[in-house]
Amino acid sequence: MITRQLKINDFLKYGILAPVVIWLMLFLVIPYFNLLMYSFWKNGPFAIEHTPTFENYIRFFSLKKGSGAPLWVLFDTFRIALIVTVCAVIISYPLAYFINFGIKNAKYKKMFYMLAVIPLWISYVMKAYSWTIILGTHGLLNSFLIWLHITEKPMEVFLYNDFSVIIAMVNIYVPFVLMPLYTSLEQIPRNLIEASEDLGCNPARTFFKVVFPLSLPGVITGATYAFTLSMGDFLAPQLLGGATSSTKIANIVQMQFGTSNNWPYGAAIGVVILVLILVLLALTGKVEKHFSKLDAEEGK
Amino acid sequence: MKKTLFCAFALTAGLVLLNGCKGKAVGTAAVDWNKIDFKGEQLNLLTWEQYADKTFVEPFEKKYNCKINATFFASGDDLLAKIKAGGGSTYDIISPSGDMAGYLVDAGMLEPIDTTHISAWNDIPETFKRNDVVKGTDIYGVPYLWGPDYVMYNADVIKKPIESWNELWDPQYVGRLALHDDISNIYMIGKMLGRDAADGQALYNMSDADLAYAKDKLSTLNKSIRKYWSNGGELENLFKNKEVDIAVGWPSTLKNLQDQGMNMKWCIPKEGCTGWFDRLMIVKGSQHVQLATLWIDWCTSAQGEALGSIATTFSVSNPKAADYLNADQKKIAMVDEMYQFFKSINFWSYVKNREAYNDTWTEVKTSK
Repeated sequence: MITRQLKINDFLKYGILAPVVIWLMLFLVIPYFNLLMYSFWKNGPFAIEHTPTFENYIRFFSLKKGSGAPLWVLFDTFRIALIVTVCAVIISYPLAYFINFGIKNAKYKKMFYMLAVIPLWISYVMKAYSWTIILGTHGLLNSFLIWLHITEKPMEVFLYNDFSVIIAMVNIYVPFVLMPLYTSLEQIPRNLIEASEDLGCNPARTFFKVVFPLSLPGVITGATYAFTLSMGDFLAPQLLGGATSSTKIANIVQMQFGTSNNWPYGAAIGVVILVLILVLLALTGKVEKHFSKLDAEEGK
Repeated sequence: MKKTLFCAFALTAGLVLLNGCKGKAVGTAAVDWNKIDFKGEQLNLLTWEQYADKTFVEPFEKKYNCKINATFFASGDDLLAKIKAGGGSTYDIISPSGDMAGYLVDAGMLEPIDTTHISAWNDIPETFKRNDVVKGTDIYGVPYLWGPDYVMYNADVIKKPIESWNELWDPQYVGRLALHDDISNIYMIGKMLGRDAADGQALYNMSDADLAYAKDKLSTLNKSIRKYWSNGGELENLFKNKEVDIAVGWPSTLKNLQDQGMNMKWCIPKEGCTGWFDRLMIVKGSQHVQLATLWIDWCTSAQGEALGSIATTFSVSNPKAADYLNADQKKIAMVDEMYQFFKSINFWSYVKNREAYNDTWTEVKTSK
């Protein structure tokens, strides 16, 4: 009887696990393993040569004189991703705070939250392209500035440079930061805030001593989303970048699988980015855990 | 004895039957190809974006009761990547330019074409049939449309034609230029250096020193570039939104902009220009070789080429297409001066050291 019960339990346990494991194997483990294998192969004149080599990695890390070294492109992408992340957090935080604490009516709260998240339903390309209409030489922004007499002639500085790439990415990734941030703010027990006020803290002190530290896990999760997504973004730079700002590290990877047609080299760069992101995730995970622990201790 | 006789009879009967089946297969070849009903069979094109215009796709679909699906590629390497990923099970017809055609033949990625079924084969001038797509007695590509990579400009803003490629570096054009996001810009530098004076192929086989020079020269042009365009539609939008005034591009873009009322003009700088010659080819392992052959036959026929040229403004390789073009269309596609025009263009060829060209191009685009 006990063994039969065990069998059913086993069946349930493995039965539930099996689809997940199969899914992960098929769409995560095998593709990544494949990527890793490719990165050690060599691009032949007609086909990929299956002879192990470190050539692709050496090529990536060799610092060529002057521009164009992919490693520098990686640093540049890192810089852009960092700016995007900071901007996205700066925009998302007050927004999430306002929706959480500024709106008392639960119905409106939900509505505002939906409004902030709705851009996720719009196609990426459409969002990116609409920025060309806004930022273009004869776009909305320039027309507005001319109307205000701030400028006489339309300015070209808004579009086709790092600025437009960053603006579009911030616009696209704000909901990704907002969601975890909102959740973490929502979970802060209201009595902690009341207690802080009772103990004589002014709103600013309450915010910095109570609300902000407790929302940090949300900030970290959101920032990680924004950072990883903008590190891997190749569409925004391609559509909105100019002569020298349209090539980020993901574009170089994409080029290897398209125009340059060097899959092993593309795979090697992919692996480098992957490792970088994994290290980053491990770090942020640790920081997040640290703050969650504080949470739990304070909760005691 | 009876048994042996029976066996012999059975064997003969079997052979006859087998032959019969074979005969039937051969028989289809003998059938008039023009009258075959393909019963909704699908033909998959992987072509430049202009080569699936409904003006010539629809009559073909109707005639053979088939369906044409088109996927587009943005550059020769893009085409290669797509064939490598998909192959004959995904695509039947491709239209590579000269930079990729020979490579595809060498790599064994194509089916030979039975030119006896290409009715225009003998009408196509021999000068257009380049031997990079011939291997032994097999022919892998049929000449289709061709044209230059010339300078086009918004004549409302730019009052005089660009006479030399060097003028693109003129400070007055800072931020007003668009070039193709492609290694063909390196050929342009080769052209400016006059490297092809003695040997036309030299542009596709430039030395390391020349490539380094091209990198520096193109990098200094970056500040004049508003955007590197990656497809014709993107370039069109750049002109329409008045983001650029001058570009190096294809005649089809120029025509579309003119059709929309823009005052667009084109010119070929005195150093000459490069250009492309597209051949239609069948991908190895294609499941619809017969239908694909018919498609090539239709596209390269006098009427098919005329429709192609009207849709794209590209030049034709079948001179008889002139019969289907009016005076204006002939002028746009330079049909009357086609041989002279052909001679003035250095057509893209396979670049052996493609990696070095690609690297140079990436370096240009990431130079700060």
